[in-house]
Amino acid sequence: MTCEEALILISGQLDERNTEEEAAQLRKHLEHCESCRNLMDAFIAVDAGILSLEEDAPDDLCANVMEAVRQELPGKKVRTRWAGLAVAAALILAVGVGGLGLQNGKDTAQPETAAYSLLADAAEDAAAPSLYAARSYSTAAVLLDPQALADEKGAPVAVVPELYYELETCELETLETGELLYVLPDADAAAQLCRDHEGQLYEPSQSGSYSVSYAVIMP
Amino acid sequence: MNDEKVLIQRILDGDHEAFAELVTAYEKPVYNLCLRMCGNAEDAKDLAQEAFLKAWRGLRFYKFEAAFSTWLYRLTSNVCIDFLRQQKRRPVASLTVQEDQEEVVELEVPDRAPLPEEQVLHQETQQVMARAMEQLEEEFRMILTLRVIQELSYEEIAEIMDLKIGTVKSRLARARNKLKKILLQSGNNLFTETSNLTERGMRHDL
Repeated sequence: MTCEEALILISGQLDERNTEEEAAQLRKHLEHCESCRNLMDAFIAVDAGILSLEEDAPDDLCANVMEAVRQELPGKKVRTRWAGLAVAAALILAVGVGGLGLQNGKDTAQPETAAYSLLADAAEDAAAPSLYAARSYSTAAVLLDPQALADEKGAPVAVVPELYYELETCELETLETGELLYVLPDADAAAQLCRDHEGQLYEPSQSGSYSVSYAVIMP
Repeated sequence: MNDEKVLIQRILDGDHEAFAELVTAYEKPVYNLCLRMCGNAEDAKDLAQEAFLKAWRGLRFYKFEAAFSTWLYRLTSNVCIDFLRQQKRRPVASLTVQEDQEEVVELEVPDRAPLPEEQVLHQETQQVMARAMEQLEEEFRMILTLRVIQELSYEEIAEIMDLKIGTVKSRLARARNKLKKILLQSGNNLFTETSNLTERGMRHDL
């Protein structure tokens, strides 16, 4: 056995991962190789040194995590596209009602106020995600239209069947349909993801240059 | 293990506060992995927090047939690697300059009360070790932390780092060897101190 081969077995010995045969070979080698015996001692010291670095987690780590978790619970959710659509719809309504008020000529202040409160209600409704959050996952999957999402986002959307390692570090948005939208680091990432994992790629109807792309998981 | 899966199911069923139990169970290993990967307490805390938050968001994608710990460590290691990549992209010349001087932020001792000699020695050893670890390549730092501090099996490490078992074995050997070389080059007294454990001297030409 060469010292090079012994190196791996010495490390394996520390981890108790050598076969009996390997252990016997190593023993034999160590009998006549002083430098490998020293190496074994050095490795033991190295391991002890690494272990000495272990620390306790900061006292407030758990509390901080839970605080952040609570921020993400339904009810605290940021408004996404449906909210935007609802605001747009409310605006149209508001303009309509406002217009009516003008036609009436007399008291424009009254309908205007009504229009504003209508707008506020609509926006509030859209922002209340508990309705959506209450939906089961499979229902949500039916509701989401990936093509519409790609069009709305103006960027490619990959639909993949499960969470892959690549997605684990991506930023997330929660759609009102319940899905998590993964923001991928660049325009090609969605296509890459589809190639690697047999996903389906949806590109915006109007092609253009994209700076990001997205992924949605639909089992 | 079974209890843990019951707990996870409970969280998924809407008992959000139960997530705190998972955090408490894993905060130490997750924090230590982050600490060894990024090298300072402040970033390690942020990274550990981010890892748990990602775990929270992705919990419904966790597959119950796999060990939760492996899933979580893999996610944590991704968070760390991502952070280190961002660090590299930032044009900070001072980072490399600091390397020789005072990079070991987490080892600051704010308490100035005199310490027993033994403790001082221990802290010195820790500083030397921490500095040496930081000079190691990322994948060496990670594999040594997972194996020596977290005491994970080769199988778990293989799963977390996407390696074959055989590669885990050889990489651990290379990592230990590299760390030993760094320690020898830095001329520290770690080996003379700890060799008492084995009652054997250390030859410096290894």
